[in-house]
Amino acid sequence: MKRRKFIGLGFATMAVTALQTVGSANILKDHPKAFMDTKPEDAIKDIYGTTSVMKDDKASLKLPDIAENGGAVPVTVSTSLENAKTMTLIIDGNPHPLAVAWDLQEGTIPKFSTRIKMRKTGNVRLIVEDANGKLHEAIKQVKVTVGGCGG
Amino acid sequence: MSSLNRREFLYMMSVLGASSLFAKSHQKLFDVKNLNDYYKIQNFGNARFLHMTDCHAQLMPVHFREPSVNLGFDSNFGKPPHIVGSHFLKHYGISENSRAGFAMTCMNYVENAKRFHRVGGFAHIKTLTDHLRGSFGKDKTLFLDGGDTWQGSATSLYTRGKDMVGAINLLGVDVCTGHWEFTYKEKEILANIKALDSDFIAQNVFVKDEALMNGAEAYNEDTGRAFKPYVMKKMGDNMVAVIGQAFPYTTIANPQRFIPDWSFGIKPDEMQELIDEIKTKEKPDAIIVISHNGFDVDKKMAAVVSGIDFILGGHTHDAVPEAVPVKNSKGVTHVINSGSNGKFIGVLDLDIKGKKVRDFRFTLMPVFSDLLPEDPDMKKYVEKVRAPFIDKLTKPLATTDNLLYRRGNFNGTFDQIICDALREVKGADISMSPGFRWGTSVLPGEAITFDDLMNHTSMTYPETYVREVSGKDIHTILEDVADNLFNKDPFLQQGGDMVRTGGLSYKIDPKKDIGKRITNLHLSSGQQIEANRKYKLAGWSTVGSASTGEPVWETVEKYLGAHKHIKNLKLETPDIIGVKNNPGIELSLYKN
Repeated sequence: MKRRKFIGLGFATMAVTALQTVGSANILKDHPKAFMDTKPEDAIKDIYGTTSVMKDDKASLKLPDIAENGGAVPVTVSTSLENAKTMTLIIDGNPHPLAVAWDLQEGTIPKFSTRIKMRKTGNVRLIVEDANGKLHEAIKQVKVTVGGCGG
Repeated sequence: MSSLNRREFLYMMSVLGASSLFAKSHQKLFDVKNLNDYYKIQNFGNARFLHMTDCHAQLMPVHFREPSVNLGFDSNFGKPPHIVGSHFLKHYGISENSRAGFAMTCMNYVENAKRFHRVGGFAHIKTLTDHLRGSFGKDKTLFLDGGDTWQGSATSLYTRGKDMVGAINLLGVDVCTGHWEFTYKEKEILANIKALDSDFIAQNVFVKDEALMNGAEAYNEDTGRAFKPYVMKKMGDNMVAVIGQAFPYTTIANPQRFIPDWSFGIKPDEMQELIDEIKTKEKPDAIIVISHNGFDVDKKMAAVVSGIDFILGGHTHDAVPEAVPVKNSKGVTHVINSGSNGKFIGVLDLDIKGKKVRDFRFTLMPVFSDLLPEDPDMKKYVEKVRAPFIDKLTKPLATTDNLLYRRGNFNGTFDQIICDALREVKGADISMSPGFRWGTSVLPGEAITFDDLMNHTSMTYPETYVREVSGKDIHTILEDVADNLFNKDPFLQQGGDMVRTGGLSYKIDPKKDIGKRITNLHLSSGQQIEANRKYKLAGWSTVGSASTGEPVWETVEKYLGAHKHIKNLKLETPDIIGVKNNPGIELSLYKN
C-alpha cells in the first residue's frame, strides 16, 4: 500500500479507536487527576495504583535521539503483548507529564504514531498494562536543543 | 592501531615515498606520464574506490591548517581523529617537516606551507583522480563524493551550488550524498540533483507525513524516503551496493525553513533493514556506505549495524590515514574519513571474491598542487566560473601578520576576526560565531581577499543580529553547543566545533554533563557575567528564523577596511580543564 494512502487510513482508524473506548476501561474518565499530576510517578500511580514496572522488551518506543522540532516530536508506540489493556505515554520534563493514554480494545493492533510536544530534554516513557495488570516500561531520552551550530 | 592497520599505514607511507618522500618535490611536474614518480600507488585487488568529501566548493587550491585541538574522551580518548599535532606525528611515525606532516598536521604550518605550497584545487584533483582511475581500470573504479560540495565559496553561493554540480560532473563523480547541499531551497536542490551525472543517495531522509498528505514528492511513497537510498554498481566482475547516509542533523544544525518537507536522523534501524533487504534482493559482492555522519558517529553506526564492509565518511573533516576497524554482531566494518577542502583523495582498493572482501589497501592521498599539473579542461571550467566575479573575489581587504585559520574545537584566528568585527561594528559586549569546520587558511604576509572572507562566511543564512540576552541565556547557549560537541554518546554529537566567542572568557570541563561544563563566565573586561543581567550580543547565522542584519561578510569587510592590517591578534581560548595529557590538543601552540 502506498504510504500516502496508509497515512490517510491511519487517521481514520484512530478516530474509530477513540469511539470504541466508551463503555470499557477509560483512563480519562476514571483517572482524570492523572492528567493534572506534575510528577511522572504520581501519574503512573494514580492510574495503575503502583509504580512498579518491568523493564523488558515488551513495550516499544520509537523516538529520535535529538528532536528536529520540540513542538512536534514524532513518536511510535507499540507492544508485542497480546491482549494488553492500556498504554500510557509519559513525558518526564513536561509540566503535566501524562501526554496520551490508550484504552485498547480486543482486536486493536497496539501500534500508534503521533506527535508530542516536549518542553526540554528528558526521558519519554511508555507504560503497557498487560492482560494480568502487570506493567511493562520502555524509556528513551530525547534531546531538545536551543539551536545548533553544526557544520 | 591494529596490526592490520599498521601494515596498511606502512603501505601508505611506501606509496608516499617514506624516506624519499617527495624527494624531487621542489620541481613542479608538467608531464602527466611522470605522475607515478610521486603518486606511485600500486594497484591491489579488483575494485577501487576514490573518495572525496567536504571539499566545500574549493575549486582553487587552498591553504588548510589541520586542527591543533580536536579532543576525544572516554572510548575515543587518543583514538583517531582525536590525535593532533606532535601526537599525530609520533603516532604515525611521520616527521614534522615532511609533506605528509604538512598535509596532516598543524605543526610548523607556516614554514611548511611556504615550502610545499597550496593543496587541492579541482584542476589538480582531476589530474590525480583521472590517473588513479585510468591506471586501475575505469570499469573497476568508482568515485564517491561525501557531500558538503555545493557550499563554502563565493561562487557556489552566487550560482546556488550549480558551479559545483558542473565541477563534479566534469570530475567524473559517480555517487554522492549531502549536508550543506540542503541549505539551498528544496526546488533548487532537486534541480541541482537532476543536473548531476552522478547518483544522489540518502537512506536517512524522509518526507514528513504531513507533507506527504499535502502531495509532496517522495522518491518512494511506500517507505517515505525522499531520495534513492542506494545504488548497485558494476565494478569489473563484481556488483557492489553503495548506500547513502546524509548528515543526520541537518534540520537541527541548519535551518529547516529551506527544506520544510524533509525529516532527517541517523536511522540505524532503517539502515539495518535496508542492508538486509539489499542482501536478499541484490546479493551484492560488497556493501559500501558513503556517509556524512562524522567519524565518531560512523564508528558507533558501524558497531550497532552489521553487514557493511566499509563506511567512507565525512562531515568532521578528519584526515585519518588509516581504515579503522569496528566490531559488530556479525563481523567487522572499517571506517574511513578522507579530510576536507580537496586536500585529499581517499583510495580504497578491495580484493573481492566469493561475495567477501578478502583484503584491502587504503591510502589517504594528499593533493599537492605544486606537484600535480592542472587538468586543462577543469582549469578552463574553473576560470569560466570565476570570471564574472574575479575582480570582486581577488580584491584585497587587508593584510595580516598572523596565520589565519578556523579549524579546531575552539576559536580559530579567522573566527577571532569575525568575532572582533561583530563586536566593534555593532557596538556589542559579546559576539558569537558558529563553530563551523569549513574555512580556509591565510598565511602571514598574505593579503586577505574577498575570496578568503567568503570561504569563511559564504552560506544561505549569513544575516547578522544584535540582541539583548541575559547572562543565563549566554550560559545556556554555550552549554547547548558544548553538549553537541562533547556528549558521551556519539549519536548525540552533531559534528561542529564549539561556538566561537568574542569578549567572553570562560572555563570548560568537557567531561562533565550538560549544564555543568561551563563556569567562570566573564566579560573580557574582567567583569563577571551575572545570570539576570542583560548583555548586548552580536552574531550571525541564525538557524530558527532569518535575522534582519546585513550579511556577515559586509560586517567583516567594513572592519577589515577600517583596520587595513591585522597584527597581534588576541586569540580568545577558554580555559580547558582536564586536557593536560590528552593527545587531542597540541599544547605547545597554546602557550602565550
